Amino acid sequence: MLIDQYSAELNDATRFLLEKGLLSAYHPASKQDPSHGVRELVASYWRGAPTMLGSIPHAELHQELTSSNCYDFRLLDGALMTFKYEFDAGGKGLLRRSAVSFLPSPDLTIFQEDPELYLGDELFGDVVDQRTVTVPLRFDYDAREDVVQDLDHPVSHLTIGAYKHCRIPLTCGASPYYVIEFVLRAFYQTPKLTWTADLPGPRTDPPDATITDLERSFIHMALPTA
Amino acid sequence: MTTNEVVRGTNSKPVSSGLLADHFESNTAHTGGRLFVGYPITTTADRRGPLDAVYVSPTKGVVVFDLVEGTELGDVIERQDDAYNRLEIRLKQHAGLVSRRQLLIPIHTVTYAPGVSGPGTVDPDHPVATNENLESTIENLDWPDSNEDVFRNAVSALQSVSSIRASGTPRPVTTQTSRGAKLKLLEQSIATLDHQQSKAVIETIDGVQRIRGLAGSGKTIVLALKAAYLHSTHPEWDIAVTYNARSLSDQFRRLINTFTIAQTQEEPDWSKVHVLNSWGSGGGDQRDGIYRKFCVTNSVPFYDFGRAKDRWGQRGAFGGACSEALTVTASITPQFDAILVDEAQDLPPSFLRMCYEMLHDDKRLVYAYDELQTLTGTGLPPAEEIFGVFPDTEKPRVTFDPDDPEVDRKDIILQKCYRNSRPVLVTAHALGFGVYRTPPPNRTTGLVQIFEQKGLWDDIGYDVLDGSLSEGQDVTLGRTTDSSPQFLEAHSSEDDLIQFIRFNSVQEQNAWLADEIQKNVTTDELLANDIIVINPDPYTTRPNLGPVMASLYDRQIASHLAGVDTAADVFFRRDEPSVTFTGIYRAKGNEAGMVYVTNAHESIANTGSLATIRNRLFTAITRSKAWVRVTGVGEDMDRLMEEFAKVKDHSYTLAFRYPTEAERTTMQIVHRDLSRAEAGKVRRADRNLSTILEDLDAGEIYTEDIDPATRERLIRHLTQSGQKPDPEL
Repeated sequence: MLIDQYSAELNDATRFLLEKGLLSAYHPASKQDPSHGVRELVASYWRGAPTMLGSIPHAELHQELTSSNCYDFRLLDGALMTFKYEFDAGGKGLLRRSAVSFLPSPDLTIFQEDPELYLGDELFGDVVDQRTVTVPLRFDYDAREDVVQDLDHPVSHLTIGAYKHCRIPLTCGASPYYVIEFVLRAFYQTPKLTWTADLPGPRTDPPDATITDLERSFIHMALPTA
Repeated sequence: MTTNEVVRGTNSKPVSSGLLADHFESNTAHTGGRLFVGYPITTTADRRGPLDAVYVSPTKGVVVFDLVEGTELGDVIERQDDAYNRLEIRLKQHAGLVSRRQLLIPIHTVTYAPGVSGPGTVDPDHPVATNENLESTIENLDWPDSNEDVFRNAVSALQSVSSIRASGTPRPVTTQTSRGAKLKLLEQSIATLDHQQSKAVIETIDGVQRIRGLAGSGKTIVLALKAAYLHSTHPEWDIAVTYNARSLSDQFRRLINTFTIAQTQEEPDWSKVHVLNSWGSGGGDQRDGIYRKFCVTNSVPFYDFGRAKDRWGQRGAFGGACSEALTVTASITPQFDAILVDEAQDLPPSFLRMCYEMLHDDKRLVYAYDELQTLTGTGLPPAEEIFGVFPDTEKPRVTFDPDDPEVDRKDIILQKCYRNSRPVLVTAHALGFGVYRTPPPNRTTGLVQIFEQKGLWDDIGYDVLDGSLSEGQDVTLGRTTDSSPQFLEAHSSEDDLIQFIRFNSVQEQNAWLADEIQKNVTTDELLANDIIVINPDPYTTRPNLGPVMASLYDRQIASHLAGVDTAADVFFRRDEPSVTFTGIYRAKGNEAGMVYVTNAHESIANTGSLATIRNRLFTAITRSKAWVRVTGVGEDMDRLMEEFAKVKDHSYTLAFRYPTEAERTTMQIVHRDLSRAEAGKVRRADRNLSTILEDLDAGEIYTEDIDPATRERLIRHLTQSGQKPDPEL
């Protein structure tokens, strides 16, 4: 089932990130029992989590999540990742909705700026004056008929920063492997430091495309589809 | 009978207090107890203040003194009853002091009025003593069911330290002999402050106070208590508490909170007690720091780590930034009434100087440190150097002159170690100094570093068991049950307390580690919070510890790594059970029952920076409240194993030949801290010289080929070896 594959990808990635020393802390996601026709793949902190919708400024949101330990991953430079997946409980167990966030730390130097700072466990590494301009990312998927709108609200889309209506179309839903691989490659690799070649996965087969022809005719991001 | 321990705090009655203290310190006094002057603070609904003086005795119970400074007695009965009631409320809060509804220890009250002549009154419930009958008045007091444990509980309660040892998380124990059970017993041992610690907390002087103590001597507790005490007695003061490792922030906040509530029944006013990082950065109160506050208040440029590193290099970053700020500030605005600094040995002297300048005239600066835990290679210079001289008189601003009658109130040494058992501490010292290290081929001693002042050995609790601390002489040093309390080692065999284990490969080491931790949290009944895994080298921390954390993940044991991003300033995870992995910097100041020191072999064969490398081992090992496992790989680990074997052969004593001055100077040069760039230079220089010598030996070049001026310079350098390096380097 799809939920098992997604869960396995998350497990593989968690273990991989830990092994490489890229994770400082984590909460494992687990497959919940079906309820109301839906089966969730989430970590336990979601139950008590503060409201995580886009209306809170990024810096505050980041601080709140960090201090209450509400995240799936806390990476070595303070960036957080949260994952939430919802599948059909019956039938083929397809993906219904998902929200995956990458929240860089507003207070610390980003990893690529000074990898040695983090890998060398610098004592004063957290003394950073400028509140760096960091940009949170969200990968969203929502297949519900009443939500989907051609081009304005694609089934699978990427939101950059705090722009409420920014929805860059993606060709299909992104399983954990693809998001994590993207984050690692875009934000944590340097010419001397590469990780993604060894990241295990994917365990999912390329899914059917959810992108429309209209959406394809403008700038969009592509993941492998069937 | 042991003598009385007297601690002189401050109250509004200096003359009578002084006489009372003198009395108890003298030989005619009733002995075996403790006298606290101006302590503890007690609070009722409408009033808060210190009791004039309290004497606690194992045979008499508690005696509260109401002091009369002048000649007017006033309403003795009212004052004595009030003091009695206040103290009774305080003591009755402790289960160990109460049975049914009664206190297990009697509270006597005595008014002492040295300024009043005559024999005093004899009302048995409200005695008034003058100089004539002070001793007999006390003698007449009684404690019919006197009990040693109750006495210790009372001292603990009065010092507000009853809850120190408890881990906070309830510890479910099913097997009486499991490690969990042993830790539980350790935690239940009654914590009291010893005399030196009490003095450090209560005796406040105007001016700079220095607290030196070895690892585990309670410096952090003492500083937190002192901050709470100062805040309680002077709520209008602005008090700052600062430290090096950000992971101490949480600990200080909690301790100060606990101690303030114990004394005043109220939480501290955090707008007056400031727990601050040393450096600080923007973005809110939690991230603020002393240096940052200085820059903001005095309107001078603030350097964050990145910019400071660019300007002064990685090692000189903070020192450079502080020096610069001090230099460019025309007139410094004082901000604090008292500043307490922990782990001062890891902070640059210019930072301490900055703290001094940020204080109002009374310059109440308290700095605590441990010489051997310098993680960055340079210890603290003497006070005269740190604080400089007054511009007009050229006299040092701060000095700890042994001939000063007040010196033991200004310069306090905490010599008892309350965390590490004797075998663990002696092993740590042996490795830190390199006592049993085999001398390299061209050296006459294997020692890596040593105290310049021989007196420090005694100060940190070592007795000379044999020989003498004289240059070139053999000496054997050991710790006594006085300086290393027995209860710390009684729970386990010496072989269980500390172990060194060698593996053929890192994979083997890591597999063993994961297995052990799994055992710890299951059959050993330890909590995840009881375990710390430390990698001494900061550069290899993440790559080394990552695989072990992954291994634990496979076994569904949660773990986390304390690093630069530990934004919540929290070292242990409190929201759920998780084993703490850490590098050496963030391990500072923390402790746990089971400590694993992994990859101890790394860099151990180095010569440069060896003092720092061994200091890291010292710091890592001394994090343990109970057990230590030092692991490593290969030949380099074998060297450490040999050293440890010798420690054991000598029954955990330090036996060595005390080095000569020349040897000590060489040590300082050879093992000095080298940056990576400098270490590279040393290696290249060595290689280049080897090549030249080879060519000379082979007759491919002759010494006559070398330019005469160059030859002269070389000869001069070679013959002048053994001198200290230029400090400008």
